Amino acid sequence: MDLVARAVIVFFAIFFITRVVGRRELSTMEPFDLILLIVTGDLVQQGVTQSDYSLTGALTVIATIALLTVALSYVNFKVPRLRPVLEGEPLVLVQDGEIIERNLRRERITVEELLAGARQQQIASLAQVRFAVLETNGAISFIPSDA
Amino acid sequence: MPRLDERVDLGRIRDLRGRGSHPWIRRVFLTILGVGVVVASTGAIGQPTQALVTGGAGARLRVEVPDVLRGGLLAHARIVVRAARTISHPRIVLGPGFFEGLQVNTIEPSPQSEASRGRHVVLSYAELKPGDELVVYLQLQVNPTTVGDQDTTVQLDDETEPVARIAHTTTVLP
Repeated sequence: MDLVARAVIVFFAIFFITRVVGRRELSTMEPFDLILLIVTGDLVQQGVTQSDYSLTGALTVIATIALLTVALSYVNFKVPRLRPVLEGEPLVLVQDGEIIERNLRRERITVEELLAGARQQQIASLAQVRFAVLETNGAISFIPSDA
Repeated sequence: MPRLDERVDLGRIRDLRGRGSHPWIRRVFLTILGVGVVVASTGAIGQPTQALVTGGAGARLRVEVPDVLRGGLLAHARIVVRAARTISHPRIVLGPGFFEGLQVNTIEPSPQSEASRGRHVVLSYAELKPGDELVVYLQLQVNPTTVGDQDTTVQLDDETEPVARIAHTTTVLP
């Protein structure tokens, strides 16, 4: 029973942390972030399974986390009012070529990062952008003015 | 050069031909996972400990040892002896499962002497008067490679005369 309880607590702790950290940090994975993620995974494993080396324990934790993931996804699908809490909301960063500074600050995105994101989508200037939207997964979508 | 739509079965990927049962298959597997988690939540995969008690003219023996464990887990066992008469040479005889599948990290209080009796381990303590209570703690850890039933029977002897015995098996899950 303690194994299931620990898995549930850690699942919601990770969910909470990923929501608090912010989308941008999660989508732009630098080497440091990657290493930190691996270290976090190791620490989480120790907290959940502790000294348990058994297959039964591992399968129980995997099943618990899988079920919680499905349950969260189901709630997210069924209860629209909870979606902003569970997965966040898109955020408009550019409208008709104009940068919305307040929204950039809110997500700690620099203009340089925004421009880099535009270049990666073959957009030379923000003047060509009708909307740039920070999606809930941390990616920035650019909608050209001629679209 | 083949066109993209020549390689794509729209009937299958758009109209879901032959894929109607897939969500149900997924739901069946999720239900199986759910049953596993519920079973685990009840303590069926470890490590519930139940107290087993036996009493006779000589003494009352109470043993608390986990019924189910998993590889690597830390656990403890508690053995309580309450003497009903004088037991001059109280000896606690531990089943082989305590030592063959498990690690005994510590035994507190330490016995005056330890000996083997076949595959069993015998712990000798000081004399107990009527009403005296001896509590022995065993700190255990399961060997990661141990699987199956382990004989964790506990017997109380007065030297070689059996006074009380509790037969117990601890199951170690893979």
